[in-house]
Amino acid sequence: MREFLKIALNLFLISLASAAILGLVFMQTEKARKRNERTRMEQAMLTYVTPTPGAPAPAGVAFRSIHRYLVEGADGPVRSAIGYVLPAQTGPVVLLLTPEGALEKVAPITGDHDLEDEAERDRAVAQALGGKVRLTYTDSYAVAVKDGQRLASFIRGRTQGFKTWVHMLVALSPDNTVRGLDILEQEEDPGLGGDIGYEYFRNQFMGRTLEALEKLKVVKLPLPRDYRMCLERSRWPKLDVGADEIERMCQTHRDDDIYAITGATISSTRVTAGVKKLVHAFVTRMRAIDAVAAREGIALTF
Amino acid sequence: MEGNYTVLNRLTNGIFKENPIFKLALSMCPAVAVTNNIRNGVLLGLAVLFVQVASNCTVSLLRRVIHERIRIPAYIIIIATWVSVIDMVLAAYVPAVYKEVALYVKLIVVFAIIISRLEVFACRNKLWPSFWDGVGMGVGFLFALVMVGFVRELLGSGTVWGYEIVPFRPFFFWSLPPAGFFAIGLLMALFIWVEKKFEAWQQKRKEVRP
Repeated sequence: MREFLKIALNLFLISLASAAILGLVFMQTEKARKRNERTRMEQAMLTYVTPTPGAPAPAGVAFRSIHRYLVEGADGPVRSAIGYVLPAQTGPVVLLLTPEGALEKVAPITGDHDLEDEAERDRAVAQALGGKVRLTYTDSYAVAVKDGQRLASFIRGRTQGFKTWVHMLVALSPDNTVRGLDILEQEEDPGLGGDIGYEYFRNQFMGRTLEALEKLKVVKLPLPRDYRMCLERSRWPKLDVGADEIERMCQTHRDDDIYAITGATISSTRVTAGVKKLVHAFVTRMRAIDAVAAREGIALTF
Repeated sequence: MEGNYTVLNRLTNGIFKENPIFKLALSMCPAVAVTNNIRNGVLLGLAVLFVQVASNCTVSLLRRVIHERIRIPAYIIIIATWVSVIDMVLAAYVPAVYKEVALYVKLIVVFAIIISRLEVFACRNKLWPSFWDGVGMGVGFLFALVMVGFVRELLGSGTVWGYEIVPFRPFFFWSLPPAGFFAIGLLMALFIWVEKKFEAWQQKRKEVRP
């Protein structure tokens, strides 16, 4: 029995020491890690700020974030609403809309909060709405602005892939044409569904207008060789083909459907469906926000 | 149990006499999986080097504290702690490197070579020899991965560290995972052959000049 206790205590102490070390290191590094992630995200977004992806972004671009929540029990026992955390000229506000898009309430967020930090933002929103609400975070959007002009908007969302969630970043131009698709995190099979992260697949979404996107389908056909050359933009400098030749190749296939990845039809269709859904939801929501803001005279900073 | 070990003895032991890949044949899965180019081999090798040295030192310091009957779980906790520490530190301070090695770093927890060195060497030796044993083993592992990576990258993609050597892919097969076994097997044979030759040569020299 004594031996037994000794062993248990020994292992407990080792685990405790290890947990203490890990905790300390985590506290030291977590802030820096989050900051890195944010910079990485902003860099990814900067490539899509100009109409030609990858062109140097103009100076002075600012990113404004929009966060969407489902709010239950706001201002009454069972009243559900959709809450948007928006940057207004007077400071951040929570805009509560009914599911139909009518204004329910505007609540300013007071105090100094880092709204990019999820836990802190949840607290700030709850505080602004008066405490007794249940919040469910759903989506985040970002709008790139310069001198009050919208340059691009970004959707950070996820969709069910073949194996698990595929996290992606969809960049839209101000007229809601897809400017680019980045796959942020995915765990599809390498060599098959994993190819969704490759240029030849994700760049097929470039330049799809809102109307084209609604009708977009996935076809199980081999990707034409010239289209592939057009899609693999990072290889352009290596090709001994002129810019007008590439332009022509892209024009030929501009209205093609999405070519599924060989051996990964499900990953391809799911990502396509995800992009369609995310863009559709974003456009509808932004229209609702813009309409309410214009009607109620809320000056937003994007 | 504590023998007489010199620094040189520990280093040559790790790199040649008991090279983790070519002699002990431990931690073969990662060696096969990530060595289709040199760069991956070097990055994983460096991460292993760090974890091996850190765990060796920790176990050597705690060798009288850790209870004999739970040493294996205790070692696993120690290795996992160090792996998590470098995972978090890299993520926070060198995100560019982290992006490349994140996948491999987490794998190191289950590397056989690390725990075997703790069990065979560090738990019976003082801090200093244990430190050099860790360095020797880590460098030996790194050396093996670089060799395998070099052969496979050159033959498979015609490049070395991403730089083009031949303008085509000589044998694409060498880039695929199964080729890892062939590459390691052939290099292992070469390694042992060279060592035998060297030993014979040394023996001869001794006979000539006793």
